[in-house]
Amino acid sequence: MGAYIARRLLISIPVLLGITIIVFTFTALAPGDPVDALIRPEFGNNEAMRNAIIAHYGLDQPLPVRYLRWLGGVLQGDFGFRILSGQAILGEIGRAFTASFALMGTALILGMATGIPLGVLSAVRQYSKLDFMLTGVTFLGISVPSFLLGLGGLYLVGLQWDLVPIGGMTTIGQPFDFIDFLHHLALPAVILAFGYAAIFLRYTRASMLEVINAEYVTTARSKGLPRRTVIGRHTFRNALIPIITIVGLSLPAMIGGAVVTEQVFSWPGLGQLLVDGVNERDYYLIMGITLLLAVVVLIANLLTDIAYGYADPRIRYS
Amino acid sequence: MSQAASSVVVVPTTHHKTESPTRRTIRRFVRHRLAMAGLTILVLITVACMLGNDQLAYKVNIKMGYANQPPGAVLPVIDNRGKPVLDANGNETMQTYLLGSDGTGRDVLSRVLVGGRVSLIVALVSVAIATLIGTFVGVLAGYSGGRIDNALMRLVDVVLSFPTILLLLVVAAIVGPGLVTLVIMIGAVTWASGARIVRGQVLALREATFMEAARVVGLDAPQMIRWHVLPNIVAPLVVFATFGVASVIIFEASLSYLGLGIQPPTPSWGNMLNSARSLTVLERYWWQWVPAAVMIVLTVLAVNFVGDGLRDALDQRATNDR
Repeated sequence: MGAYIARRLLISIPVLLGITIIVFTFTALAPGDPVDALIRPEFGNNEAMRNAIIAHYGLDQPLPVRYLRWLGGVLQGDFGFRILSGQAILGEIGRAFTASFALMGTALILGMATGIPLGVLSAVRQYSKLDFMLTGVTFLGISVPSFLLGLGGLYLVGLQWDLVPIGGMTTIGQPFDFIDFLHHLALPAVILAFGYAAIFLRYTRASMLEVINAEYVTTARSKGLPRRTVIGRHTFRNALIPIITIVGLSLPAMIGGAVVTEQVFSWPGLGQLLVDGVNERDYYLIMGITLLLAVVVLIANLLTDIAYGYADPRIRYS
Repeated sequence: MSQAASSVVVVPTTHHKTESPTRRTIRRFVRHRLAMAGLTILVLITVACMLGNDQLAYKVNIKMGYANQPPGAVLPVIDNRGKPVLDANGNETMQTYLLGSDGTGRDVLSRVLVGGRVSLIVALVSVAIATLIGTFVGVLAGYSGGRIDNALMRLVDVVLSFPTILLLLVVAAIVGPGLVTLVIMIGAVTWASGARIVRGQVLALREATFMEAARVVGLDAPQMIRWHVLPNIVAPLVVFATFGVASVIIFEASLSYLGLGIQPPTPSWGNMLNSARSLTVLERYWWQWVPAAVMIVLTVLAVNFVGDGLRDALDQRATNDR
């Protein structure tokens, strides 16, 4: 297992390098550069100062040199500095990642905890009223983007009923308080979780239905095993593999949905940082976030593969 | 969205009565109640959008203090210079703004309809681009096999492993927002799953007996693709494109909501939502964003219903053909 993980990690290095090279080339070729944002208008079009700034940030070097410098820095944990604010990018990304992780993690756990059991229930009682209702809700959950749901939720729960704060992660100007944090987290997490739960429910149901008529399930039932065991051990365990695959494949879409939803709730996460970076044309920031997300996606794919091994003892990695 | 569509090659089944596959598909689709409901909604939305009034959608009325008026407000008609239009008796002609006016006094109803035109066109054109690229890459990979196949599919893996909206954000940062760039860029980042579906179909087709026969007869690669491969991948492509329209409407809405998609004054469903980023608008002027949100949800639901219906109708394996 250890060797397998090590090999997978090694294989992903060229993929990561490829992604950074592509993003770097495109961003460097883009029109408009951050230097314009740095020069104060009152100094006018001062060519000498402009050149000094360009030299200071190393922007006069050829592309490959700039890329290698950036890569060298990243390998030593130096992602550079925000051009407008001068903040260290690594620190900014770290803070934003923690915020995003708290939101997405909570939503993912909530979504799994509701979607998977309801999917099992929906499959076990196929064509019942409950099944139709759940299928309908699932269809809604998959069709309605979570940022729209977030706008509606913010309008109703935050503004009309005044039950939750209208944005942010904590109350500004107060020391960190866990209850206050949960209060801020509740609405965005539930909204995101609704979309996730819909995905989990749909695929759990489909996957359970594939297995539920298998002969070994009939055997298990006819030899008198309790219903719990038949569904839990014989059906669900075998239905898990496609569910894991789908969850692994849906992860990018889940992250994407979270990025926009963060904006609705002014959640200080990666989505907001990325949009700031885009607006400020801060390429090193965009690069840093892209690289981090690529790493996250690769790790998630690896975890998906490892999870197969636990779900299906026939799969062994060596 | 593509699992069911991606797997199996068309094998014509013998029927007691001969019925062409197209007719059978249409018959099955018409019988799918939700799909027909979705289609009806789509037709209604499209017709309504075409009737939208461009004049009212763009005419700024802010000086006259008619901004942010609630639904049903009756406001005077203004001409292009912002002066009230007078009738024969010298009275102002009045007009009802059924969905109220926005922050610059424009008619929200007209903006929703004209904006719908923009959103739908963005969706259709970018899906067409994505389908073209996806088909080309998929056929190339599946038909060539070997190294080309391997390289193209790794590329597809990389594109698919990234959240599409993030790719769009980064590309938007690079090329800048705008209608044409938006369409091209959405097309350029959403083709990958189409390519995967097509490649799967082509791989399965390569083993089919009729392909072997065609090769024996002496058809060259372009002829094979034109006469035997493309007709057999139309069904999954139609399903891919239909669901694609739904997701592109959401992408456009998300990007424009963030201010990185369609730029004002051109309206789109997405950038009408952008106004709701202000809490004042969100809370007090709900009519400025709720209509666009409702249209997005309705359209996406309708498209998904149609997609489900098409998938069932085009599924040649379906056994319960009543």
